[in-house]
Order: sequence, then C-alpha cells, then structure tokens
Amino acid sequence: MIFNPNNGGFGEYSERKRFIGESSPRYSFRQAEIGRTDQFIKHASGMVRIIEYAAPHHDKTIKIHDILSDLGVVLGTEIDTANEGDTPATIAYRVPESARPLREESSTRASGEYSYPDTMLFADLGRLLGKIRGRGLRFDGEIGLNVAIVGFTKPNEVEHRLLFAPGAEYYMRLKRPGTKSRNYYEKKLINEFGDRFHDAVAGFNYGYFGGMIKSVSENK
Amino acid sequence: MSKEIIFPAEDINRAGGELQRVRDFQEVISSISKIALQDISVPTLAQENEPDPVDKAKKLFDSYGSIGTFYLERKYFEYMPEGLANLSFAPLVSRGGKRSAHGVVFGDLYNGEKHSIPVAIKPHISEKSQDSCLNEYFNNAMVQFLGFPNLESVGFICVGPNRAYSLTLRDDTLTTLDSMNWSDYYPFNYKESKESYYSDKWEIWRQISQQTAILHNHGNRVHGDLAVRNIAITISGGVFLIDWERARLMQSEPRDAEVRYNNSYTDLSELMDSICLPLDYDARLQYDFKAGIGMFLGKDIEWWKGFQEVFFDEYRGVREELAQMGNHHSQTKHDVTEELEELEKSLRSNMEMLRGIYE
Repeated sequence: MIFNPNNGGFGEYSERKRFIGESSPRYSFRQAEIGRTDQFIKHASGMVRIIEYAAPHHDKTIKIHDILSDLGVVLGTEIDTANEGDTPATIAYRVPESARPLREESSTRASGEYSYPDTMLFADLGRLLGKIRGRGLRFDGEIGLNVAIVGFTKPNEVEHRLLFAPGAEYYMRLKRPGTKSRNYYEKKLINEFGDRFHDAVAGFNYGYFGGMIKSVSENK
Repeated sequence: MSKEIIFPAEDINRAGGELQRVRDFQEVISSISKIALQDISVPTLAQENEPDPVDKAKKLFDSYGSIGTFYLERKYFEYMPEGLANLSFAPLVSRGGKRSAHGVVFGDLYNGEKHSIPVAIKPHISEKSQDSCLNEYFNNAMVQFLGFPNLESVGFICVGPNRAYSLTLRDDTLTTLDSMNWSDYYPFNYKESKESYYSDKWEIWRQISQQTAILHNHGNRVHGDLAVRNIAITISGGVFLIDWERARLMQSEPRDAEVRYNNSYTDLSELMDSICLPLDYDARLQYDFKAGIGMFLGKDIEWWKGFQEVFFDEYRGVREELAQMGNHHSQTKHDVTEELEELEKSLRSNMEMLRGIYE
C-alpha cells in the first residue's frame, strides 16, 4: 500500500515502513472482526500510531463513514491510501498516541479544572452519541472498544476528548429520523459499565440532549 | 444559549485544589530569577562508598544555592531559547495523576510561543518539601545509573524550604496501572483462556514481579512507595516503576536477613495493599488516603492465591534464581531464603487482614 506523499508529510511507507509493534492491550483498538489493527511504526518524524481496517464495500456503510467524517467524530486523521480511481482495500488513520479504548479505563471521581472524572466522561459520551443521532445513526457495537478517550486535551477541546475509533461505522445503523435511542443506549451502557454508568446517568442524558458539561467552579 | 451543569469540586488532594496548584506554579515560574543547568554527575558520585551518593549529591547541590532557581537538565536548554522571558505553563485535561497525594498536573511549559516542553509537574508542598524534591531528583539520577527505566527528568524548582516542584517529561504513551480497569480480570484465567486479554495482562504483572525482584536482589535497595499508581505501562506493553522519591538505594550490602526483609517487606506490603484496596474515594479517605485497584473485590477467588498468581510466585522464583547466580556467599543465599520465608508469612497474614476488611 502506498500512502499519498502529500498527506501531512507522512509519505510513502509500503516498502520502507519499519514496523515496530502492536499497541499493548491497554491502548489497542485491535478487532479481528473488521480487520482492524493498531500499530505504531517508526517514521522520520518519530513514532507514528496507525489504526487500519478493511475498507467497507457496502453502500450504507460507506455512507455512514462519510457522515462520521463530516461530523468530525472519528479519532485521528484519515490517511489517503489510494491512487486516484482505485478502491482502497484498507482505510488508515493516524491517531494520537495517548488514545485508549474506554473499556480499559478505570473509574475516577477526582475532579478539578484539569481532571476528567466519570461524570464528565459519560456526559461527553452522551454528547457523542447524541451527535450521531442528529444524523439518524445508532451505534450497535461494543462502546468500550469503539469509543476512544484521548489522554491529554486542552481545557477548551471538549469535543476532542471522546471520539469513535476508526472503523466504528461497521457497527452503526441508519435509523428513521426521529427514532429514539436513549433507552437503548442506557441499557447497553448499564450492561457494559454497570454501576459506573448508573452513577453518571444524569450527565449522560444531559450530554445526549445537547447540554454542555462544565467542570469545577473553583475559580468562580 | 448553551445549557450547562457545573459539578462541585471534590478535591481532596493534600496539596490543595487543582486550579490553585496550577496558578501557584504559574506564579512561581514567572518569578524565577535564574536557570541553572544540571551538571551533577551521579555516576561519578556513585563510585565513592558510603554515605550514599544521594546524600553526597545533595550536599553538592546545597553549595549551588537554590531558592528561585530553575534547575534544568542540560539537554532541554535548547527548548528555552528565550531564557526566563515568556516562560509560561499551559495545563492539560487528563485522567492521570489524580490518585497521587501530591496532585500531579500535566501540561506544556512554553518558552515564547514557538518552544515548549511537554511536562508533568509534581508539587512538593509540605514541611521539608525541598528535601523531598531533591530526594526525588537525585534518586531518579541514581535509578538511571543503576539501569532501571524511569521517567525522564526535566529539572526542578525550589521555591523555599516548604515548596518545590519536580518536572518530568510528559510521555503521552504512558499510563499508570491504577488507570486500567481490572474489574473483569481474573488472575487464573490466563492459563486456560485463549484470549490474549488475560495473557497480555498477566504479562504486565510478570514484568512487575521481575523488576521488583531485580531491585530487591541487592538487599539494600527499596522503592519506598511501590503502589500501583507508581507503576507505568507503555504503549508497547513495557512496564517500569516510577516515583522514586522515597527510595533508598544504598551501595553497601545489607547486614543480615532482617535488613533484607525490612526492605522488601516495605515495598511488597504497599504493593499488596494497592492491589487489594478499592478504587473509590470513600475508601481512600478511610484508609489514610490510599486507593487501589480492587483486583480481587467481588470475585470468587482466594485473595492470597490471586496475589501469588499475579505477583509473588514469579517474584520469589526470580529472587531465588538470582541468589543462586553469581558469586554470592553461602551466607547471602541463606539470608535470602530466610527473608523470602518471612516475607511470605507476613504477606499472607496481611492479606487475611485486608480480605477481612474489604470482602
């Protein structure tokens, strides 16, 4: 596979790429079902983390991929892997090194201006799922493995803290406009996160319906 | 108009509120009077015998003068082309470092607009803070000299006897063990399960066991705060111990088995506590601010066997193997055997107590 040399200075890596390794289970979004790999490779600019997965061929999935890209809710930057006119076999994203799947994250209630406790995390998750709802999408896969938390963000980068892992379009369905999914998500999240979600359900609902969560009022 | 929820502060860190800590640090860097490049060479110091090299290095430091000086590692000087002008700190939001009693904050140290160093700032705010900051700095250098992987030091700032800051390079590919979710992990499953989930996680513990065993093999070296929050895991699955502030890294051999036992017990009892104690804040308040990962809580397993499986069997195996290697005296081998037997007895007993409290 040849990377477009004009894409972010990433350049060609097919023959010359130097494979370093798989991301460890703490970080990895690897999922065999959709051919998703999570690797870091050495590049002239340093270490680069790449998530790659089998390109969808079904029209609906391709459409969902485009909607997600349009909404800006996918982790990292898509790398143009195809020559003009070609259909790519895989889709690759260059992703932040600190991104990790939600399911591997322990609970934390520590709060402060620069903390990111569960209450805010689930509110952001609600916001993320609410955002795709606005475009008629429902996520049916494992949230813990398909939603990424970014390790470090600027205080004003609220929308960059939680994002869908590349390839999440495989687990989404287009629904009729106006279809209500909140109850569906609530059951799903209780199943995946148990008490942690119970404690944060109010924030989740708030985010889901478009509210913004602000952190601590120490400076007020 | 956007709706917003404001959550109340729930900040119980001993070092005060998070915002206040950041503001204090911002104030401190704006008042720094000079930058000193670090030239203290621990390898040189370590060639000398007792007292331990850290004490010697600290005496050297005292002769430099300290207050209001930013002690910067030489290799980071190129990121500070504007010197003390336009030095600022921009904090970042994260989930890391929150279980530290110090209240570590992460961010970027800017020198002008174009140059920055990603840093983790650890405030030392208590009596003799300057000592604890210096201990950490020199211990880190000693750890590096001894060949253990560690966080990379950027430098330190001593504001006065009761306030100082350690700066390490922020590595976005690191997290600590307490930030991982262990609620679905069963220590015994890796043997039967074909899922890499279990074997990969057991591999993390295998590395911890081995590194701790290598540290304790000397007999007179102790990490001093070996809790899960002080174990880092890298994106490639590597593991290493961090936060060596309370470490004692002596050059001299231990006097006897009792000294060996005291050193290894200090570390392993702390590690065991942090594996067993629950994660949540309420428990932390009840138990001297300590928090853990609750690895065995609510699971139908024997706690001691679980601890053996994830840590102690491997640790003991490596210790015994190392004691047999090299030119150890027969007395040393005997001392290690005695130490390990006593260690197992004490830890078993501690585990019973912990299980009684939390199960």
